[in-house]
Amino acid sequence: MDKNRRDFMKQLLIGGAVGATILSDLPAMAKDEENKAERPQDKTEYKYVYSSCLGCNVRCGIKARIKNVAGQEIIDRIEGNPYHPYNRAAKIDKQDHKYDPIPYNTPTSEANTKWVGSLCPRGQDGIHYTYYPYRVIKPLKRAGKRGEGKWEAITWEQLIKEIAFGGTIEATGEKLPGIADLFPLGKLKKAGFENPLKILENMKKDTEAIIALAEDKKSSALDVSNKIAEFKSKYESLLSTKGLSLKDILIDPDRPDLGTVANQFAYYRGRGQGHTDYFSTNFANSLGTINWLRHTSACQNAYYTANKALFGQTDLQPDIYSAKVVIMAGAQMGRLHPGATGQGLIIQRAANKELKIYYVNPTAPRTEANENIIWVPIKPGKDAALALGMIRWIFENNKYNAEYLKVPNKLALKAFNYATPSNATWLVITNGDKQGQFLKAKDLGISTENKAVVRFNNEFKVFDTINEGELFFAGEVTLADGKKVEVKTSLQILKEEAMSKTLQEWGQISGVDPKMIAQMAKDLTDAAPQAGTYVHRGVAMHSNGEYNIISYRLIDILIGNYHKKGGLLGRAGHSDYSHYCYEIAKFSGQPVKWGPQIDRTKFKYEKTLEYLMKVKKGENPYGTIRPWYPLSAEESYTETFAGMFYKYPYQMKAMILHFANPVLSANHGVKFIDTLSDTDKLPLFVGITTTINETYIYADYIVPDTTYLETGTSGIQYLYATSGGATVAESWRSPVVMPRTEQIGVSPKGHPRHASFYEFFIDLGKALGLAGFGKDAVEGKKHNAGKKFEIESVYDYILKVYANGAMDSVNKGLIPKEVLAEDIEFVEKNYYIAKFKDAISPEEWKYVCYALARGGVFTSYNTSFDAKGLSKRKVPGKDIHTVWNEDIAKTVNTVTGVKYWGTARYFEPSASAFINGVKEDKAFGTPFKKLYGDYPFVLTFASGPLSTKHRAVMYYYIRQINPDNFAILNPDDAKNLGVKTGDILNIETPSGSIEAPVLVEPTVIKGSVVIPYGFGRWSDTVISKPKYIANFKDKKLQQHLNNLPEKVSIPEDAINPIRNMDSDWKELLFTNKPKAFYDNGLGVEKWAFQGITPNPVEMKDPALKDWPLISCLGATQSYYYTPAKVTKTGKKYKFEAEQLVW
Amino acid sequence: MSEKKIVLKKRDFLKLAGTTIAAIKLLPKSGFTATKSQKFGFYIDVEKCYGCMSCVIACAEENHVPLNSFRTKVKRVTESKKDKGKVTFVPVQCNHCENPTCVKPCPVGATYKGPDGLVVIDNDVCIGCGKCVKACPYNARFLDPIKGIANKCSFCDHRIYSGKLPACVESCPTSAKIFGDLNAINEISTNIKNNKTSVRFPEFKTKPKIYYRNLLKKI
Repeated sequence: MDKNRRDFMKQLLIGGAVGATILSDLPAMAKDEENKAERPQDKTEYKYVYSSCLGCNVRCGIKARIKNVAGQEIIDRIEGNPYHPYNRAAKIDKQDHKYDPIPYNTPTSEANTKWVGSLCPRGQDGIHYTYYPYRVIKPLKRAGKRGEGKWEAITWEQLIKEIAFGGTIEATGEKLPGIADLFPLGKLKKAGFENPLKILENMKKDTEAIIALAEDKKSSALDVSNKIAEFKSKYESLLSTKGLSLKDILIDPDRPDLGTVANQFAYYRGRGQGHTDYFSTNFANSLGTINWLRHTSACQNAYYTANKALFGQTDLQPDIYSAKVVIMAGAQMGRLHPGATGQGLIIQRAANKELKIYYVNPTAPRTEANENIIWVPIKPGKDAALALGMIRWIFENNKYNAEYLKVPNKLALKAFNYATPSNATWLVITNGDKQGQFLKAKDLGISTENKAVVRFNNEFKVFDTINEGELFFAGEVTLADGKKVEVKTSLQILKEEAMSKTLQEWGQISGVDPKMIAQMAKDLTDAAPQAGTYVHRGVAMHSNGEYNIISYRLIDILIGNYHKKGGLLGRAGHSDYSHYCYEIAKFSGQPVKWGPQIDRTKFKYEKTLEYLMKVKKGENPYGTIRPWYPLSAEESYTETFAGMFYKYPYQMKAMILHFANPVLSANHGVKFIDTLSDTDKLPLFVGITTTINETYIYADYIVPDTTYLETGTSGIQYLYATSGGATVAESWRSPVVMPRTEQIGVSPKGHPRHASFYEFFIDLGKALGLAGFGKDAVEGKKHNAGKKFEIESVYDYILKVYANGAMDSVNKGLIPKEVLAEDIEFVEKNYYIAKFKDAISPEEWKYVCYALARGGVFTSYNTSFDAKGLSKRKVPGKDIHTVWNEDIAKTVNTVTGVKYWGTARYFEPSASAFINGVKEDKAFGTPFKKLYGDYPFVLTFASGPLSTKHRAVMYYYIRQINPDNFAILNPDDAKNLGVKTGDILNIETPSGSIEAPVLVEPTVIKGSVVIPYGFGRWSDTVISKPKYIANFKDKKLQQHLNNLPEKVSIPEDAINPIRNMDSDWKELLFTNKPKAFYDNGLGVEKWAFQGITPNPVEMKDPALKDWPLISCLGATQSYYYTPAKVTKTGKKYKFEAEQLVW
Repeated sequence: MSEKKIVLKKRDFLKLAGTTIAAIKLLPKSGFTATKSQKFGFYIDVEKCYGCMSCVIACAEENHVPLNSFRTKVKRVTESKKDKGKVTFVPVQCNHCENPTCVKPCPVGATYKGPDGLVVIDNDVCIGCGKCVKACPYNARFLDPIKGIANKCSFCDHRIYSGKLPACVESCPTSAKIFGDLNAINEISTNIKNNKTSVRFPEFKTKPKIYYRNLLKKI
């Protein structure tokens, strides 16, 4: 019944035209139980596309449902993928126990009619994310000073040309450099050199020779200077023959070790994925820059760094399918892999009494699951104390796995049922100048080998010559040269560390009841090896983060659970998606590269000429302006932007930043504005993004990007360690709907090209003449050997990715040789990319369809372990797991000159160096409690299934449930402050102050103020200044805040991908929202800018010029421990929702 | 007055108003006919729900629920237990009661209980007066801000007759929700048989058909 008729009827009936008696008898007209009830059924013709989610980074499967609305294909609903182990499967007669996906070879007709996969709310609201009105759809160039918020739309051609060869900002007259300036191979080619690749190779070799000479203790400073002069003379004369000089090629001719000018270009990505990571790596490698950088310091770098040190593998987690007891620490429910979707398995198992989870977190779990999820409230940053308490209990009760720990080498371990031995028995020198190093056979004189030594039957033996060693030993040893040293076994050192405090003291430090610590240790060891630590950011992202992770992971080593069913596993394997029959990750014509990254990670300071020359001149080499992080697994935001600011170790000239927001997402990330707003520190800043966020405000150019449901981040996604129960598990991300960014052309094969990350690098690569882009860019392999293929559109590339994955999977027997016609038909009917299948061969397409129709390639958990319970996967990591880590013990903090400690230890949350040079015993930096003792609270934050990253603001279906956030206080603390829910607090940290309404509830530990994450934005193309930030203590930052424009100036038709779409559909997605937001106009929409984020006032490092605090070993952002003062303001806040949820 | 007379009077009145009953009761032919042999319900295990809100979003997408209206919700309860905080999430939606209080107040008979136990809103008949919304003691109904008619959980009756599950059950990662025919031998009836269950506010005497395990009182 239409509205008008209905209104009319309503008026008649209610207006009194019909008497009350009749009204009450009208139901007689209604259908009663006698009548048959007809129900309209949904007969819509939908399309379905399987893909991989990007609501967070877990990479669950999705099945997107597409509907035709007013002639446009729109995403109508997003469901889960029943083939994917994280979504798992159900059907009408099997809804309970969603433990397993359907077998990979299930016919797609059966999967599509009978089965469904579960999916968390973020994955489902990919809809609002894709159809978000603030998305930029045309290329933009700044039309004012950096950060003024003034933009003009430009053509794609102008965008490429200016970024490649340099542009001018008309409004200010600023001249921006082009990336061609930073392409030495290009310059050499252009100048006319015949063998430019060889010239660069020789430069690299000659540089290595200079370093080798500098490392030679016998050479003098003069020897090295002379060699550098020789080098310069050689290359100046060569280059000048074609009108070039060394300055055109090297950053600093006097410092050839810093590398070529290509290093002055950085590609930095936030949310990286296969295959944007591999594609951008191609660009970086073809240019020749060492600076291909990731957001890992904001993600999980300290967790990676610690795991890498101990196991040689960055990512390890327990087997969630079979583990019986798990210590889930620093991991929010609904967040850590396998994500809000995949964790459903863990919660069911706990509720079904198959799994006990000790939930170690300052915040309470979201369900107790029949008392099998036990809250262990812990003080933020104190996890090492809890872990050492457990380790103490384990030693005192002899619950360590002696059978495993006593084996010193891999060969001897074969007799037992374990994958990798530990160095528990290896002897460590504990005093003198070799303190922290292993006692070596050659130093002891028992052989000439530089190998570790163990003790057995009162004799010293080389570690790989014997089947077992003594676990506990401490004593004095005389070396071959007569010197005496003290030695202990690695396990002895760990034991002493654990015993250095009583259980009560460990409990006191961590805030955990010692009885609980004992119970956790008992349950874990009773269940071993089907038990383990399930740990993540809340433990790792602290100044002491690596030591927190190391301390937990040593528990895993003590119980010997590695690579076992129910124990600690690495990642599932994946197909050869970058190389198999199309070589799309290595190209001839890519130049060599060398030198340290701008963020000084993964590189030893002791290998630089800066260090080596200082040593030769008798100067103290330590006390660098910024630290070096040789042990860091991946890259660092703080160190990149600080490096740019101080031009240390060299000046940067250009950065392309993709899908990132360091200003907002790093702790105190606002500090990075000092760098980003300054064209002297960063002369060219290009952003590839869907919206102009708090970081991209400072860009020179904006390249509009597509979302993951379009062509953005398409490719094949490997899964993280919670997939380790499968031997192969990879999620395929394929485009669901055509991009809504501006069409910028058509490829030679006729593929439509829309503005996006992929198309940008193709055109920029072609403009610069980089290997791997354009005609004949790709060499074929295997059945394609001898042929060349083009990369002229995103479809050219990703179809080859899929072909590699599919053909490798056929070869492995994971995809059958015979593909049913229904699989090919399903894909060709539903997936729009089928139109571009000419990018690969029909044979390859057939197998690609098999995998596309299933959203990936997955093997079954049930076939992944051998009869003895060891994983069939190749053993990940290195050959020996370190109870004592010599690499860490030999590493020197380049600012303080102090060596690090090589095993577990409780370190106070601290600055990353000492303030005023005052050294602290047993510390790597001045503890915060010494500096901020008058800040009684710890400010921290929590994520979960609802509020995760700051792009969560776009998930409007979720925001309707939690439009506001708040600061959560424990009732005891609230009582002392005299506040109740709704009162507005002032939260002051050493960095500044924010105001936040309080939620008082007992779900957070006393002494903490917890903010649910994913709110508090101030720029998302449109700007809305953040009123909740009361002030910054740093005057410069306060100025940046004051300088935020009140409004942006941007052509209206350059944004809003849904402007011309069906208005009824828009009204449904944005009910009661202003039309100036979703229709026409640049309206500021409330929800996009609501709430608070703690990040701007989170911890800075007072020892290192107030840059955002990072961790000691892995340069990782320190998020979860910021000293705070909390006071009431007297103001009150009216929450929008009836119910406060986080 | 006899029923027939009232019906005739109504029909005459409607003729006067320029409409016909046939026009009001116009239904698309692609329907399914519910029968008495089935009786649909839900089984919800509260201990498995962890408040991810998947069900709320799945329902919003599947049923095209306008933003800021909810066919299904998840309530969050916090309490202090043994000096620590405890959080419980409880999914709630229309209970499709055996004795619904929302049916009688409808002046046009737009809402009724079908033979398979589903309490249905006929969108073509509803005039949006809001009486049923006020009558529901569980606050399960709302007025659709776009269509101006009553709206509530329909147990996804546009899907379930072809062997599909309601959207909320599909999306739930923890199997907290199970759906089915209470009259058959299946997972739902077995779970209800083998576990201690309760309903929301039994004192309302509405006889809800959503059976909860581990439900806190007063939700």
